[in-house]
Amino acid sequence: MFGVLFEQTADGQRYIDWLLTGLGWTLALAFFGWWIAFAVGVVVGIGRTVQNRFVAALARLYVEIFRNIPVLVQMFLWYFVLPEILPGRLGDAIKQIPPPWGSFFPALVCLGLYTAARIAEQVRAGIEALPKGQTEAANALGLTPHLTYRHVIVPQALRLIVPSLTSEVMGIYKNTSVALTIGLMELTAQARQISEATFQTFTAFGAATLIYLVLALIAYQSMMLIDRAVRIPGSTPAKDAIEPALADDVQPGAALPHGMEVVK
Amino acid sequence: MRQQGAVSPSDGTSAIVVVEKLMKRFGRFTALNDVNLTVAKGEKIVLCGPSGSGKSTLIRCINHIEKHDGGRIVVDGVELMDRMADINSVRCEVGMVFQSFNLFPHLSVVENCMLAPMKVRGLSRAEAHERAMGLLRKVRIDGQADKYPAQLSGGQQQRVAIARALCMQPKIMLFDEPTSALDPEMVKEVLDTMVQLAGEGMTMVCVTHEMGFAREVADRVVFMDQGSIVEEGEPASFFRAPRTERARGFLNQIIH
Repeated sequence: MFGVLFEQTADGQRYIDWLLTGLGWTLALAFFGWWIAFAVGVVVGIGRTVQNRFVAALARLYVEIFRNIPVLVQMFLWYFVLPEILPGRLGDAIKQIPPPWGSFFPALVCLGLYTAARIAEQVRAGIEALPKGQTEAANALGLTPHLTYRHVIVPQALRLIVPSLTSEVMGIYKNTSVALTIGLMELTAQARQISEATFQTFTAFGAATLIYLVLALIAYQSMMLIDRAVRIPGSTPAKDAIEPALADDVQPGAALPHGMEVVK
Repeated sequence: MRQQGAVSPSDGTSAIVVVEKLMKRFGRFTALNDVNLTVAKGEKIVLCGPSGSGKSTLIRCINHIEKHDGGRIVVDGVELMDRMADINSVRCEVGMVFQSFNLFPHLSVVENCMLAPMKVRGLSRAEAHERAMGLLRKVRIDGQADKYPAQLSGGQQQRVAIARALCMQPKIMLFDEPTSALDPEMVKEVLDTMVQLAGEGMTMVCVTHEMGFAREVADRVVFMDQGSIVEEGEPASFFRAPRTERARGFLNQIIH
């Protein structure tokens, strides 16, 4: 059924090569976008929790703006609107970036900054979930607020949010498909092109779907590995923590109500 | 370093902590009301009193983990006001041990002890490691140096917390109910460590309900109720014949 993918195209390639080029753009966009999102997200997330009200308000503003505008609209803003509102020469220079890059960079910035807002909220939640005693102990040792964040708070908060970051990783690469609307020939765009050239709609989008699924599984598995690698020795994931308690309950005698004892 | 806010202790050079007319409110609730306390160098003070009496709040004010609303606190000649530099220099000289240990779970035992000496005191990694191992040996837990806090028992964690505070070479140690979160069989190992520390001449202010410890170690017992110091005195006379009705009632309740 996927045989058509190996047929020659008009430009001498095979259709599968189109798909693979598209996959390349998708991966590049997701990978580099992720690092932008992660770096900005951690900084903004920390900003949400600091004492300084101005910084906290600024971070809040960032999150509300980038999280609440649809990705598609943001994509158009970066691609169509930004060059228009920038001063003439700078705007023209942006418009003249050659084809793949002229779409790639706006898409990269868009996805990076959008996902950053979501990551920032995870980071904030992670920081706020830590016991207050951690900050107090760090303060009592004379660590400045900066050192406290750097060595005590952030390392713990990031470990805490690895599972929820998994969905952000999967989110950013799925959102790469929106970049086709500003002309980036990524995976979905290539699938559509194949479908138009061959009229094999099912095959073209079926192949793209399978590739997206495999990517999702890889992303999920790698995040699981990271979660395991950074886990603090001696700490147990929430699921395991419950089981010993259950085991206690089924021990003989333990099931008796308090105050009752087995008469021998 | 200490030009601003430097105040000479009010009574002699031997006072290391001077608390005068201290006020602290949480919203409408007055946690501390006109508290005066002077701690001399080398002195061991036990703070006791019913829960909510303000004893924890008092020692948390001494290293400015709680901000006070009125009165003065002078620690080692530096008055605690809002200047961050003053606050941090005081915190370096004041070690604190918490009820819930508050070890850093993502760092190994020895790293817990090395962090502040390296980042605040500027020690090299090797110096900090050597100092940490020395103090972990002192609290008899050097065999567990590379484990993580979650792999230790409560008593062991609290001894690590004591070693971590000592690594900053503080001039005074504050203990905020250090044995209250421990299983009964682990209380002794922590108290033994504290007795040993007291024997070495460390200045200590302890909030604790361990009256045996107070009898053995304290120079002075300070009894607080409803945010004020109600009574203070030598442990022998305080336990034998408390002067106030409230102290008598409290002692009756905790000594069965």
